[in-house]
Amino acid sequence: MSDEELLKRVGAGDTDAFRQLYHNTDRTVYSFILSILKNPQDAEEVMQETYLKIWTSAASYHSQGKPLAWIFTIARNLCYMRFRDLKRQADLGLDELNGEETGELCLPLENLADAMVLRSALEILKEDERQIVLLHASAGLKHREIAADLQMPLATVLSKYNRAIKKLKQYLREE
Amino acid sequence: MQGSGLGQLNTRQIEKHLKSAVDTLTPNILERIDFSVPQTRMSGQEQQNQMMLLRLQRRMRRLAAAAAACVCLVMIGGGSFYYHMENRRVESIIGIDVNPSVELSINRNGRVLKVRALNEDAVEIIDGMDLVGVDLNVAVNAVVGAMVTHGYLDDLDNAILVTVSNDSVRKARELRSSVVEDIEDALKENQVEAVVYDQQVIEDEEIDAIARQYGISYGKAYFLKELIDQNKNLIMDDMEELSSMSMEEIAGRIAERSYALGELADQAEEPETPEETSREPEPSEETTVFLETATEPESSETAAEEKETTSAAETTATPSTTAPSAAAQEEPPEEDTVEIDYVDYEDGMVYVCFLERVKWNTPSVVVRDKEGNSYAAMVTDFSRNDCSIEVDGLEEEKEYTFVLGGLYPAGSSTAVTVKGYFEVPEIASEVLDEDDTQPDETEESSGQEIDADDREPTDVKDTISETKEAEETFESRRETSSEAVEGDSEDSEEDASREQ
Repeated sequence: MSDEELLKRVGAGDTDAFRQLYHNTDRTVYSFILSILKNPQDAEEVMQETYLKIWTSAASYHSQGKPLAWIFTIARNLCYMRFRDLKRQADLGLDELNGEETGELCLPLENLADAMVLRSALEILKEDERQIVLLHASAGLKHREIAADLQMPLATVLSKYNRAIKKLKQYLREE
Repeated sequence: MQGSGLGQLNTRQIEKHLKSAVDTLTPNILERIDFSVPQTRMSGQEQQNQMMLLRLQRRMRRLAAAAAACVCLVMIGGGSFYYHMENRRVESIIGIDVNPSVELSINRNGRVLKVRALNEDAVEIIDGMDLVGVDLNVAVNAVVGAMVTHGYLDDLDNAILVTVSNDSVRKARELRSSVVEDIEDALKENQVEAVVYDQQVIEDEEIDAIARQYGISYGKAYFLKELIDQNKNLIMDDMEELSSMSMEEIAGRIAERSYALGELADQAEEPETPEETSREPEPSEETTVFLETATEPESSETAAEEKETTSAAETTATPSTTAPSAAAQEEPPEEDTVEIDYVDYEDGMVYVCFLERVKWNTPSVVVRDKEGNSYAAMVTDFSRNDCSIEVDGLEEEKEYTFVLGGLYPAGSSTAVTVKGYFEVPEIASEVLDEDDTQPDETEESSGQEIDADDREPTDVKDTISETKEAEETFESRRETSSEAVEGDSEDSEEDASREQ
C-alpha cells in the first residue's frame, strides 16, 4: 500500500496504517529533521512531535500524490518552532543552566568514521545541502523524489548533491 | 577507513557512513505515540492555517487573488462547487511572444480561461477569436496560425518565445514541452520554421516592474533581464532598445553578438570552490530554462522524417540564433572543451554532470543508438554544473550516444558540443532492492571512477577502460567533441533504494 493510501487510512483512525507509515518513513523523516536541527536529541523530540501531528492531522491531508512533502512541511514547521524555543532559551541563558555546550556536536555513535562523516556533513554543509545529502545517502530517497518533495528542480538537487559531496570529500581530506 | 584513512573516502563510502550513522541514530518513537490523542477534523481555522502554510511554501505566487478565492472555497468545502471553481481557477499562464505578445491563462485541465493581448499587434491577432473554453493546443494552433496569416511569422528567421508560469516546477516543465510541441506542430502545419525559445518563470516583482515600464510581456521581460544578467556587455539601459525589438530581432542580435543565454539556477555561494566564482546574481533556486527546440528530433517512430526536419530547422536557424553552436560543431577550438564528470541513466532520464562550470545558450541534444536511429530527447533542466535529458523509447541493455549542443565552457564565448555515452541497464526503471548488499556490489565496481571528479581529465580515459569491463548496472562514457578524448566517470545514482 502506498504512503498516500496509508495516510488516508491514518486519517480515518487506522493505527495499523499509522504503524506501517511510520516504518516506511521513519528514517526519511528523521534524516530530514536531523538535517535541519543538526542535533540528534532535538531531532528525536521533534520526530516524535511530527508523528503525533501526522496522527492528529492526517484527516486534513489533501491527496496531492506527495505525502512526504506534506510530512516534511509538518516536520519543517516543528523544527522552526524548536529553533524559536531554543533561541528563547538562549536568550534567557537557560543553556548554561542546563550545562549544554554549544561547541562541538556530540553524536552518540560508536563507529568513529560514521560519526566523523555525519558530523562533518552537519557542520560544513548548508541546510539545503544537508537535506539533500541526508535524504539521498541516509534515507535512500532518489534525487527525483527529493526534488519533488522539496519542490526543487531536479538539476538543482543533483548539482547541490554533487557539490556537497565534493565539499565533504575535501573537508575530510583536510581533517 | 578510520582516522587519517577518512581523507581517502570516495562518494560511495561517504554515503555508506552517512547511512550507517543515521541508521544507528534513528530512534524508535513509535511506541511513544499516544493514539488516544484525538484526531482532528479540519476546522475552518486549521484549514485556513494549512492553506497559509502552503501559500508560504509556494513562493512568488502568481494571481494571488485567484489563490485567495481558492482558500475561501476550500473552507466552504462544497464538493462539486469546489471542483467547478477549481476548473475556473487559473493554474498556468502561457505567454507567446513573436512580436505580438499573447497570454493564455489556463486551468488545471489545460482549458483556456482567458486570452490577453499584451500589445497592439496582438490585439489584431486575437481579434475575432473566441478561445475561451477551448483546449490549449487548439488555442496555440489558432494563435500561431493567426500570426502566420498576419505575416508575423514568415519564411525567414522566425523566433518565438514561449513562457510558462506555474507554481509547480514539474507541471511547468511538462506544460512547457507540450506547448512547444503544439507550437512546432502549428508551425509545421503552416509550413513555417522558427527558433522556439522556451522558459519557465517564477513571479518576481522586479520583472513585473520591468514589464510594466517597457510595456512588454512578463515573459519577454524575464527573457531580456536574464539576457542582460548573463552578458557583461549588456546593461539595464539596453532594456529600452531590446524591449522594442521583436523576438526575431532579438534572436538575430543574440546570434550576431554571441550573447550567452542561460539560467540562474543554483545558489552558488561557494567560497570553498574558488574556481567557481559566481558573478551573476542568484535570485532563487528555481531553474529558468531556455531551450531551443528547433534542433531536436521528436519522435523515434518518424526518425527519418524527423532527421529531415532537424536538419532543415538547423539550417534555418544557422544564420540567426544557432550560429555559435553550429560553428562549434564544425570547427571546435582545441582549447574550449567541456569535460563530463559523470553520466547517469535512470528511468528515461540521463543526468550529465560536468567537471567545470558551463553556460548555456539554447541547449539541444540528440540521442542516437549505434545504428544511428535518433530518439526523442530534450534537455529538461540545466545549471552551471549539470543537465538532465529526458529521452523516450530506449531499449534495455543498449548503448546510446548523446550530443549536447549550445553550451559554453565558463569564461568562453565559443559554444562547444559535448558527446557522451550511456547504457540503458537491463532493469531500467525498476529499482534494485534496498538490500544493502546490492548497492555495495555496484559500489565496488564503480568506486574507482567515482572520484573522477577529483582527477585530472586525462585520468578519466584510463578509468573508462577499467569500468567498461566492470559489470555495472549503469555505464557511461563521454568524450568531448573537439578532442574525442573518451572518458568515463559515472556516479550511478544509487537509487537502489526504496521505490516509493
